[in-house]
Amino acid sequence: MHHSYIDRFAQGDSPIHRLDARAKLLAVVAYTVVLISFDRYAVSELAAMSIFPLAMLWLGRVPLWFAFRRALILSPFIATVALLSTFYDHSVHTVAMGPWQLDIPGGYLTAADVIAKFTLGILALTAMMCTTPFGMLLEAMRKLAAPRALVMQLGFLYRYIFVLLDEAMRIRRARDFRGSAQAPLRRRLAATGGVIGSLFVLTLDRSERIHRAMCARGYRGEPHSLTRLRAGWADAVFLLLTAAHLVLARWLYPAYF
Amino acid sequence: MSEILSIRDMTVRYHDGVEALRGVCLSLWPHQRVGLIGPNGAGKTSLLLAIMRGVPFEGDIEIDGVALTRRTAERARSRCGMVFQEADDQLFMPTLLADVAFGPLNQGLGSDEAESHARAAIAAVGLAGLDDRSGHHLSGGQKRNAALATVLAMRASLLLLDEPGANLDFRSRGRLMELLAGRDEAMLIATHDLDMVRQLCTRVVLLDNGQVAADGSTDEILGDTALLSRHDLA
Amino acid sequence: MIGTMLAMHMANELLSIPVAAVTLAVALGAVALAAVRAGKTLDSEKLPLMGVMGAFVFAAQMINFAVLPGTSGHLGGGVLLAILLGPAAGIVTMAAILIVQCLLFQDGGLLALGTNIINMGVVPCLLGWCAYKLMLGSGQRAKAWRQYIAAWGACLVGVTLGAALVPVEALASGVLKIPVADFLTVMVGVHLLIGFVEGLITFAVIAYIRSVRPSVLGLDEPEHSAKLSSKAMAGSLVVTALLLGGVVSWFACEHPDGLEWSYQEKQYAQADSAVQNDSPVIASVDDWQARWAPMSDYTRREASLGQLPDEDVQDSADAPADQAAIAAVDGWVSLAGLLGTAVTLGIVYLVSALVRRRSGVSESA
Repeated sequence: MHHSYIDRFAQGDSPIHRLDARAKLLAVVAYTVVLISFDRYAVSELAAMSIFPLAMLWLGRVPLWFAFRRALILSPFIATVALLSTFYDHSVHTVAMGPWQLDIPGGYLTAADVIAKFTLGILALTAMMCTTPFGMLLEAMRKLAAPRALVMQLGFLYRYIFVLLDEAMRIRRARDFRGSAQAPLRRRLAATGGVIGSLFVLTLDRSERIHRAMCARGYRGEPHSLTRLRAGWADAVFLLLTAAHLVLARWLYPAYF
Repeated sequence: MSEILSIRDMTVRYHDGVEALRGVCLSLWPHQRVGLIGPNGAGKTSLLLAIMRGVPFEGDIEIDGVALTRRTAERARSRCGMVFQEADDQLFMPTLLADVAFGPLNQGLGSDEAESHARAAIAAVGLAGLDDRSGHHLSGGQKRNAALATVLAMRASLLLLDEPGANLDFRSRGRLMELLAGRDEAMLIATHDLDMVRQLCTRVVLLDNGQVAADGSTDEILGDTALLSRHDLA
Repeated sequence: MIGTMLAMHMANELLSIPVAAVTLAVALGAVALAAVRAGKTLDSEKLPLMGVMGAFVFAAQMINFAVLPGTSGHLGGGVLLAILLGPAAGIVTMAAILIVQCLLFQDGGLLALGTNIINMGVVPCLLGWCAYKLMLGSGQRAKAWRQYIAAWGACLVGVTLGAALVPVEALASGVLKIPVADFLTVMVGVHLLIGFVEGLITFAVIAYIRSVRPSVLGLDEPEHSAKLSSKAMAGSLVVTALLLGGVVSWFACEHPDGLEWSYQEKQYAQADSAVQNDSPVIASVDDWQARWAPMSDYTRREASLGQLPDEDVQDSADAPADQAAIAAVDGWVSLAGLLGTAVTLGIVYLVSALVRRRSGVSESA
């Protein structure tokens, strides 16, 4: 399962892992913003934008196959837009590389552009998630002014996803092993409703118990948490390098006169 | 030597009218380990919850001389810690360190001090090195120890344990018992595991149908097979 | 298996920066408001526990309902949450879910969080819930069948409305080169089906809960909002529709990009005059927008300040020679850029390999 892969990679060690989570988060957000600021016909310019994610992945010791696999699961939107662009956009563009020039319909360029941006965006995000333990990321968000209650929620979500997925799998298996596939529609529907409904009730009870456990440890509504993020010189250098890279890739390299 | 826990004439009645406990009297002294046994539905969990003021009760409960009321609940809770039956309910933060530090932070400790208390507790239960793991990455035995750590970090003088040995394999159970044997906090251990009681506890309280049926030394109670079979325990 | 479900989440690449920023702001505002509101109806202490409910939704999304052999429907969750926990708690929970889906499962882009929270959180939870209450009628909570049908209808409305926003947001971003009407039709059509099935599942869940723990179904009504009149709710739906329509038309006027292709094709000859951007406000916004793409594309579109679409067409028709010259230089610049990138990547790769070897040595030492 991808979640546990991400966790495993995130627990590793590398120069990227040791960077402050806030720096990585800011860098990825900045990168994504610059990425989508390229216009819809930019394809070869995007090559320069591959440096940031690939560098993060290589230096962060994250296997490329894993990151690319995440990107291969194309969002249906991207696929649709790419496909439909080739049908609808008939404007013609001259693409030049070295001494060669080619006239390509705008639709194909858009398709390539959208797919490239999507892939690069996923690579960058995966790079961050695989080099930053989720708990640190949450702390970074909290420090960067995300509301405390939201961050606590995200923590709970992350913590209990697998517990609940396991529960769901067990209950669903119990349903399936009793031949629900052969049942008529009405009974199939009732079974599905029952599985999900009982999950809901179980979860309600569970959150009551968790609340009780929290109160037993002194919780009074004000979430306190550990401060483990410590920014250093490496983070400043990282941010500067990233900023320089983005400026170069976006505004200086594809310089047109 | 004054009692660390004193329960007098306590009744726990749930809002649907069911009486989980009736007229319970119980005392515990510092460093004493008491086993709380009884058949299913006897009210063991309710008793522990009442001490943590997690369920409403009538009667008097005093923890380390402080009467347990709504106002004093917070102070009382920092003196005693409860390890719940389901470890998953107790490990709710994204990382183990955050979980174990949760209690100390709520006790008002600063971030650094809370962290050192937490690390000490994690080491004490033998989970050093797993600080950054999330709860769902731990095995059953590890989770149980982690839940214990969350309470130990609060430096409570009274520990309430609800079925600590449940669902543990032989070795994990053995390790847990070793761990508990080496601690000097007072303990009230609710369990079906009579062997654990025999090895860890000096006193046993038998609960059935919401009432204290027997209270005596371990040998006395566990040696009385007639008593045990009368209450479905043998 | 997680991640094998087709995610209907919006991706970054369909958005422009201004739209992403605006939707993020709107989403943040909505979530903040919802959090405050939820804190009043539930215990504010229990608000973080909505995260656990979020985990429930994840798990619930894994449960398939075999509509036909080979086709399964799944639960989206927004409307169900709103019915069970109230719209405020629903919005807060869905926001957390969408953030985690983006970060851990890369479903939906980072900058698209705003749109996703609006489309799949705020709209289903709020408008779906309004539809639910409207269909439920007042004072007839006892009637089971009415509740089930209301739940089903609410899903239909909530899911479809949320999906309908996607083409709007894409249009506003100007990334799309697809006729909006077609996109809208497809989105609405597909999601009517999805909403239909989700509605069935939701109704089955409500039926189960009603028989097992009916008290839960009373949870969504705090005392003071129980008196929210049908008129108020219908009114809010109408206002929303008007706002949506207004936003669409404003963006359509200001950003002819999305409709540009049709001008290029000269299919809508008389529409030239429909897009006159003489207003100083719009011109200044155009200016700001243009700054985000100072070195845009190779060919026609220079500065788009207040230019009428047909001028664009004329420009490109007038200067094919200039274009070729520009393209020629572009070619070498592009090549240089690609080589530079390749060299940089090579250096980075070497550095990372060295770092790995060094730390590998120190590990074995």
